[in-house]
Amino acid sequence: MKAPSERRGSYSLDDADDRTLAGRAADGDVRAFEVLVRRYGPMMRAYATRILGSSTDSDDIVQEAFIAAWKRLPTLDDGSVVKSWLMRIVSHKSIDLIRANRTHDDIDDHEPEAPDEASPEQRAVAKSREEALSAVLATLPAAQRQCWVLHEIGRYSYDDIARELDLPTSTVRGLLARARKKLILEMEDWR
Amino acid sequence: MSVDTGTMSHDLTALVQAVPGVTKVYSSAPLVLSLLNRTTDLVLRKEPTIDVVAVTESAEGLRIAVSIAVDDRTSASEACRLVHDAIAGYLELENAGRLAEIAVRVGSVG
Amino acid sequence: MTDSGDLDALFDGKSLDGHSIDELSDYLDRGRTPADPAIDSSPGCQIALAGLARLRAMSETLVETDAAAEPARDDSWVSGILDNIELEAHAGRDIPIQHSAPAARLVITEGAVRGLIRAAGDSVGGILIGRCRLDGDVTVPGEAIGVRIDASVFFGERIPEIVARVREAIYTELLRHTELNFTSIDVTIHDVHHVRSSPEEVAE
Repeated sequence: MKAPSERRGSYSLDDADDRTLAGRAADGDVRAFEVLVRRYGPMMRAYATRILGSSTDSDDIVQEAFIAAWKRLPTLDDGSVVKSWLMRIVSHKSIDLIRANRTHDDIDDHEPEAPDEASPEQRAVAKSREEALSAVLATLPAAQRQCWVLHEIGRYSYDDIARELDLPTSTVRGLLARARKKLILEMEDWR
Repeated sequence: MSVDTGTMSHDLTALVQAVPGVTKVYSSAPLVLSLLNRTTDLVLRKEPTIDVVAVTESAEGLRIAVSIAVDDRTSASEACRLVHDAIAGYLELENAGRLAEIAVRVGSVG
Repeated sequence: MTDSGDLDALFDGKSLDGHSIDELSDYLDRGRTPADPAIDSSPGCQIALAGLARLRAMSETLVETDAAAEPARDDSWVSGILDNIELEAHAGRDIPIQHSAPAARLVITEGAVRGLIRAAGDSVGGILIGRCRLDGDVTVPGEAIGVRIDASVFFGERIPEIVARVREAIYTELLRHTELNFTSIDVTIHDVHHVRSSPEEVAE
């Protein structure tokens, strides 16, 4: 049995829980903020990429999200929820970009040209169902994909999505229904 | 009496950096980390091309403002007073005229 | 595998006892409450609900899988973020430092004092200081100031002992560096951090 004091030096910021890190960062500790950036940056980047459908702008979006988070951290009362709080900020930033870039075409619900990665052959060799899901998501029209990711991953309600994307709730409902149908039809072993 | 605020800012930046316990000298204006690091590098290399001690003339007299970081060995309050006294001593030597304010802000310790 | 005939039946509602996939999805969104006996007793609906739940679970873990599959980011990505944050954002209130000269306006920032508190508390070892608050008007010399600290300790530490040492360390540093009148230091331990520890290590 080891005396606790022998391990004392090993309790570093890298091991710290989210509440400790968020609290320190809110108080201006850049080192604690850096640990949060390393801990959740990759997931935030992946989330932005899923919403945007491409990784082109993900790094910029995540950077903007963290800079905004640093400023707003003192307003976060419960530091233990910092992960979902950061994910919310990154989805807001992604939505801002979608709105800024949106042309009328994007809201049209036409199918994009099927990307190579979603070919039946490749789906058949997809090693996991997640890869299959990923491939099908890539074939969805942008608006359908955005609604799906925000609803299923970001836990946004239909009304939240409608407000954020500036669309009628009925349109969001329709987009989600079509996304769902496509995913179910394309996911080979969904049952 | 008019003073050369540019020269004064330049001299004071070097002077404050030399006060025992002071590890960084930076502008009191909001800044980002990259700028702070750049400023520090310049100051540490003893060629401060960015003069971070603000020197302005007002109707009430001269206003001096600076932010500092201090090390953990000296008392932060004491280091802050030493910086003030160094600035006040310089202004007296330079015959700088009426003084409105010397503002020294400790932004970080250790 | 499903054949498309079955799936078509799903969407025209034939295998769902009159319910639609979208209706079932909403039911899932509501956490299947209030319970709908018509849905819960329909084998077709149960199969569809299970599929929807799997799809949802998969979507939820998708970004974590994406993130894990990404190559590790280099430090320039991190410094690109840290270089652009505003340090002054958390400076807080200006706390006066006394000086006899009438033109002197000397202050230490609340952020600097919180930094002192973190460093002093962490130096004890086995504990990490989290959020820290100074209660009372720190801008008025002599005002009674209370310190409230949130912290987490390493598994196996004796909490009352470590809290006493932390309070002592913080008090000493605050007295040395500031002129505030500290009347209390409250430490709340919100988490005990577990790393490769066995239960008997606490049983002392």
